[in-house]
Amino acid sequence: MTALLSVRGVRKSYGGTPVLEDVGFDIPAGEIAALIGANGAGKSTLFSILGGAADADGGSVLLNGAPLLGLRPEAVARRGVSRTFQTSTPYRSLDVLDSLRLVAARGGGWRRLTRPLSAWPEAAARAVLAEVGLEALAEAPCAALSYGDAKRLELALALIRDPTLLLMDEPTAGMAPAERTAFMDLVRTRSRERGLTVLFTEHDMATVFGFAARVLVLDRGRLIADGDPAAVRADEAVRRVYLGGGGAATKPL
Amino acid sequence: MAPGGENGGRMDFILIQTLNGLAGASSLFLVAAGLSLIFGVTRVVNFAHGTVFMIGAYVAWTLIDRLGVNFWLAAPLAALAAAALGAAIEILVLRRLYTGHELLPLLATFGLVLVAHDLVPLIWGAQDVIGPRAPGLEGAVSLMGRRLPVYDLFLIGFAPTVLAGLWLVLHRTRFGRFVRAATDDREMAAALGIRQDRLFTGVFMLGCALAGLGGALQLPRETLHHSLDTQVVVSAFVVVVIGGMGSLGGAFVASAVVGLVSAFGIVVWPQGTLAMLFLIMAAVLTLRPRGLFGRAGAPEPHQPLALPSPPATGYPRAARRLTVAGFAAAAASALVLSPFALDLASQALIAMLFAAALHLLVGWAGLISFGHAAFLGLGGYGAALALKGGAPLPFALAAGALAAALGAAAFGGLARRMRGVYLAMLTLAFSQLLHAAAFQWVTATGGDNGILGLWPEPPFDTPEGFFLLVLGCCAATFALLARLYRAPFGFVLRAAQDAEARARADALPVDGTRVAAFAVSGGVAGLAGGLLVALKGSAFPTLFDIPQSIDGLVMVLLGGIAHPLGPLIGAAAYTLGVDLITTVTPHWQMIVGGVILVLAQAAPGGLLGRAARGRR
Repeated sequence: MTALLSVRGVRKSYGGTPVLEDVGFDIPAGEIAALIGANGAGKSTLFSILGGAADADGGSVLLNGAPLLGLRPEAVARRGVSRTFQTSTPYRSLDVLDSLRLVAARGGGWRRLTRPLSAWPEAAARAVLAEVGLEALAEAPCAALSYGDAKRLELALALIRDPTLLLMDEPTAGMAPAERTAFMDLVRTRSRERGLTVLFTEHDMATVFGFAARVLVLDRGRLIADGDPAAVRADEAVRRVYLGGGGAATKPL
Repeated sequence: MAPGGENGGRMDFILIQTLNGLAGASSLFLVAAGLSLIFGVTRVVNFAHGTVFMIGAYVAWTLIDRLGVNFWLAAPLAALAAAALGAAIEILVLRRLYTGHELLPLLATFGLVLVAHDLVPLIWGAQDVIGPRAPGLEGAVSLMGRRLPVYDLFLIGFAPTVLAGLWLVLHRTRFGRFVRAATDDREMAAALGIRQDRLFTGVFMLGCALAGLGGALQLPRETLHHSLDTQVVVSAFVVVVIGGMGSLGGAFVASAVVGLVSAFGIVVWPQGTLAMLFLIMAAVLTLRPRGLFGRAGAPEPHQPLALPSPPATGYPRAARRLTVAGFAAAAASALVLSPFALDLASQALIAMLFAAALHLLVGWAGLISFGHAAFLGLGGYGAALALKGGAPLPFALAAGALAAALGAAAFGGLARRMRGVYLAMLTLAFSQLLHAAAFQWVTATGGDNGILGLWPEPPFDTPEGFFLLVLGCCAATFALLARLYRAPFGFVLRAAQDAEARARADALPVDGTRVAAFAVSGGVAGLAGGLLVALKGSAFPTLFDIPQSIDGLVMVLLGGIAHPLGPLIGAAAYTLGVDLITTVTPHWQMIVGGVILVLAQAAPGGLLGRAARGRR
């Protein structure tokens, strides 16, 4: 199987302090992979680099064989990468349907200046709202959404451009356990139906081992493990630096 | 020529001007350090900082000249008075405004500037005041055959001493730790239990004391007059922006740069000195968007203290109907109004155009401009030159608007990485550069004499005809803007203001839309400029003046930045209000300033603030 996302030798340092050192991995199409590591391990930096928000000092990132490094976030997004953010701030001054319609309104040339947004197609927005279970809140202002609904809207915004790769930065942070499972179930179903590849960072080990088919472990800027959940959980290095060797986190989850 | 011959003459000139410039930089550093400290902690751009400087100087002068106090005692007393003034400003004027739009404190401090403009001449007189010599340092030393006042040497040494003192305060005291904590991360500082109200008052007192001291220490070097405030605050802004907002070391280096450029500029090219400073600032910002020593992520409010408030929706249907009805009524009124009233109505409509242009950027796109007069002036001069060349008025207006739109698009493209206060200062710099160009390029613009005799041809040569033309321009413009705001264009601007990183990750064309917003905003401002020139029959460099830009911001905030019709109501109220007040009293600035101060407290969302909240 050829990889959808191929990362090779990515390096990054801030003011002489290395944050990422020679990070490389492949993610095949359709896979759900988790990226874990302690705070400061480099997860957010790696995500910023993959999304085009930060430059790497070296290495390469290929999406379906096409290079992503050096592209601006908008260009990365247009090549089929969607991302969600750790802090869930949807478009505060817009309502749910308008924000989806806006993201779906591609092209149009000069009509982007003159044609009211309400006259742009809304079928795609309605469909994706149904996918995430937010149909009833289509007319609600984004600012009025509950935390969980805001996360669902974020997912809808990410899905509406029909991406091939979805990057999610701590998607379930701040959620109650039941909410987490429901939300990740939703992500898994969407991934299966759309053939969507997902890479997410996460601190909650139950979520990681419950939903990822593949786990990547970052420790102080180095990738120290990469494999299926069972293998990673058994990995000595991971136990030592991250799971805390015999602590609570290593109990069967 | 100095005895040392050609070479020696150049050498001593360079040395004396260098020392002269560094001495001048000293009080500038005091003012800028205070401004920077205040901005770092409170995120307030204190427009009244030059006013505090000026009042500090006047207080010191009164103490010395009227009460016979020794200069060396009067200077610290003036600093204390300025500190008290700072506390009053923070507690009485600003304290309740921090939760509103980030421009609101700026508006309030501008109200203070206006009040002081009229009040200071009433208290201290309108004539220039010559300051006393500093006792003990009256003499001069001889350097390479030239004389240098001893007091200048004292000032050159004083600035680094203050910098060291401030460093000690910031790094060795509890208050200083709080200041640094709040400058780096306000939310964390609040979470750690730092009392924000006391900290803000303290920082205002310290910042204003520095400005007051700067004013007092400048007394022996410079004549004191009541229009020193704007001059000083603009220079201090330039220093703070070049050095990096919130950085004291940056303010120190930048004040030296500004002092030196001023000292040499005044000899080499007096009229171009200010333009040169702004050119340096623009160059620094282009290379280092946060100034020389500004840290990424730090003082620039990436999480603004105040929530930006883009208009919640496009023009609502009721507002559109009301606007159409208003235009019909206005057109009919042309038949009955007196020529004088028609002239005033034309002025108000032109102000509405300008305010709507500014609102597109400041309200819808969240891009702050302190220099929108740049585009007013470009449009005005474009139209003036076309009229001079014999073009009919409509063509001249179109030419002016096009010139302004192109200028704005070019500027927006160059400044696309800039946000917040830095962008605001770059727009200010741009307007000042154009001001200098209009002033200097005498063959094209007539320089200070302006372009005169620009009277429109029939049917626009009567008050009725011209009024209907202005009304038509407004109707067309507002209809266009209403369309833009309801289209993806307007929604992209709002989305990018709400959450820029997300908008980019969602592949929204943020940069292109912002450049387009600059172009449209510039074009509309340019149309207003062309109409203004045709109304007055002349074009002067004052079109580019800073007060023109500030007036626009006042109008937008007065009407209500969060309401689509806010700028229109604000422009009408401001134009008619100022006209009414000037007929009653010569002290109109004091009244307008007072009204601004009261409104900022009573209706922080502007006249339509309540209506805007209701629609959310």
